[in-house]
Amino acid sequence: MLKLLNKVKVIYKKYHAGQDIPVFDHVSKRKLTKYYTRETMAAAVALGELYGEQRPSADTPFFYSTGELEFMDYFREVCNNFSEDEQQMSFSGAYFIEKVMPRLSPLSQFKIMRNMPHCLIALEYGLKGENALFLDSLQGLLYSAKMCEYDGPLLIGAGKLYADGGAESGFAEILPGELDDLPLTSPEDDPLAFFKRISQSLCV
Amino acid sequence: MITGFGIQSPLGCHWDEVQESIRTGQHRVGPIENFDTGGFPMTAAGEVRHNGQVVKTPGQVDRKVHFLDRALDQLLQRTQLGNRYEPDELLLNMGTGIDYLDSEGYFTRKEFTKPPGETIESHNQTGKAIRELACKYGIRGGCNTFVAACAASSQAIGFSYKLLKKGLAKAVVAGGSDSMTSHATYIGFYKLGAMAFTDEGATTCKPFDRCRNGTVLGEGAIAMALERAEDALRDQVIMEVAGYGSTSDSFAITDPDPTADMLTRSVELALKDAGISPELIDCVHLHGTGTPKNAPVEYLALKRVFGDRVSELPVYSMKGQMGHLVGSCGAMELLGVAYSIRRQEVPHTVNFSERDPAAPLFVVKDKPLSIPIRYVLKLNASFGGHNTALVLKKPGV
Repeated sequence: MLKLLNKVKVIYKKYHAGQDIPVFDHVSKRKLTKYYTRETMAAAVALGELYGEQRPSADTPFFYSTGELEFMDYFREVCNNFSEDEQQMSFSGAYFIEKVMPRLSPLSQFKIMRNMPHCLIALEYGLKGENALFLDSLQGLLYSAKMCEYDGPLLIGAGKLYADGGAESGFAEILPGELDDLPLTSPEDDPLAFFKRISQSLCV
Repeated sequence: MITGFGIQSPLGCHWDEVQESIRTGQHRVGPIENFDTGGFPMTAAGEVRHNGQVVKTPGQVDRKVHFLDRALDQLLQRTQLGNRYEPDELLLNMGTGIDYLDSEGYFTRKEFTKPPGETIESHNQTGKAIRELACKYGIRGGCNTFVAACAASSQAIGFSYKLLKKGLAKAVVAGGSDSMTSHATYIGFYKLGAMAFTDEGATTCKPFDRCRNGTVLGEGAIAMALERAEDALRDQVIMEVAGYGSTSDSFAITDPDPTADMLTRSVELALKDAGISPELIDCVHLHGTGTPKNAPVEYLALKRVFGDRVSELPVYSMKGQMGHLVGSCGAMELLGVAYSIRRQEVPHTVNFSERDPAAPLFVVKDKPLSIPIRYVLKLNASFGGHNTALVLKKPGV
């Protein structure tokens, strides 16, 4: 869903658990997709649709809010392959090192780092400007945009990965002064609800 | 204006104790005491200490939340912010790291057998916990958690400074809290490849040294009060944030950009924001992780901003002494800046002994260097390419 009002461009995407996210249609650095979570995939698709053939200026400020982690599924795959004996062993540092870590994918650590969606999107679009990264904060995004002294459009976005694998993403390309034209909400509001709301309320 | 600290750190839990640790250069990294590291390839870390002793907590306790709670309590008691501002006038802006997983609880309770999506008791949501702390301490103007890895807390401070400068807030509690000294996060960080590969205990992390081979983790929380000049109580003012700049490398997931282009740009932005020329900077407190790739990039950025003066501009890193506090490192390292401004000294970088030809910085060694200090530049950078630069000023300059 892509909407336009004056120069404001807004997009909001939601993917259910198991739903295909067509990330390869929207990224040029395909080797990096191994580091993508479904939140990052959703963000890549949303931005791909927001920008289309255009490319933002490298110094575009980029402020992003990632969602609260709903689950810590770090070890599930490893543990599901434990033998009965391994499951009965008591926990210790040595058990952790010998039984768990060797079986853990080297990509796991990257996928739980909260700044990876921002980093991977910045890499895809070559964004090098002012930035800040929040956890579930609409206030942070809006204040960052409002205080930004960049002379041009900036990018704000939010994403979330749900426990069942569902993912949401929202972005807006906006001039700081245009924030006053948006249907502002309480700073305590959910950032994704904000993108959903403005994408529905702004008309072409 | 920065008008107060609440501190829980490897260097101590009170400002006087921290200053003495910095002055003497006492080693605050050692073998991990708070959890079982049997079989670990590396066991060194800077754990939070009170009167020199490691603070121990049960496995189910998320230490970064525990220490932040104590730091906030200390700060608010000391500054009486709650009595001088309405709850809606106070904001909490905190940098932090990844969520905590109590590995022992997870395996002992076999939580991996639960269906995906079901609540895992061993998992503590840090963001939610920080919002609860804001409520507990009557901070109702907003709560923003910053998660840009090693630049998270410096982003929190830069953001808070801008809020005050733009008149969007009256007072902010800002800082950071992080702890990666637990089974999953410690080894996870080790696997990322940034940690030193030789366990030398207290001397593992050697910022800027020719023989450096990686960093070592630390932990801790710092909450600081930021107020507008017109509201701050004069006798409480420690230092002033004068400028802030942030950029992104957009180069690689873990490595810094070897050209230092955007780190340099962040410094230029901070100096421009502060309205000063590079000549006014008296010393630089660098990120100084002790990794092979960090020092040459920081050197190059300084060389580009300060020119030939880089060879005589004193620099410092706190990480050799207390480790890398990741989501709280920028805030914690402002204690080093406060030390410089208050005592007019550049501290010596612990574990630095031999200059690296690839990063020929003027690293203060062996004992603090006394010089007049009005302006200090503080740099941080992170995995993911976030760069921050802060300019701090002596009050009254």
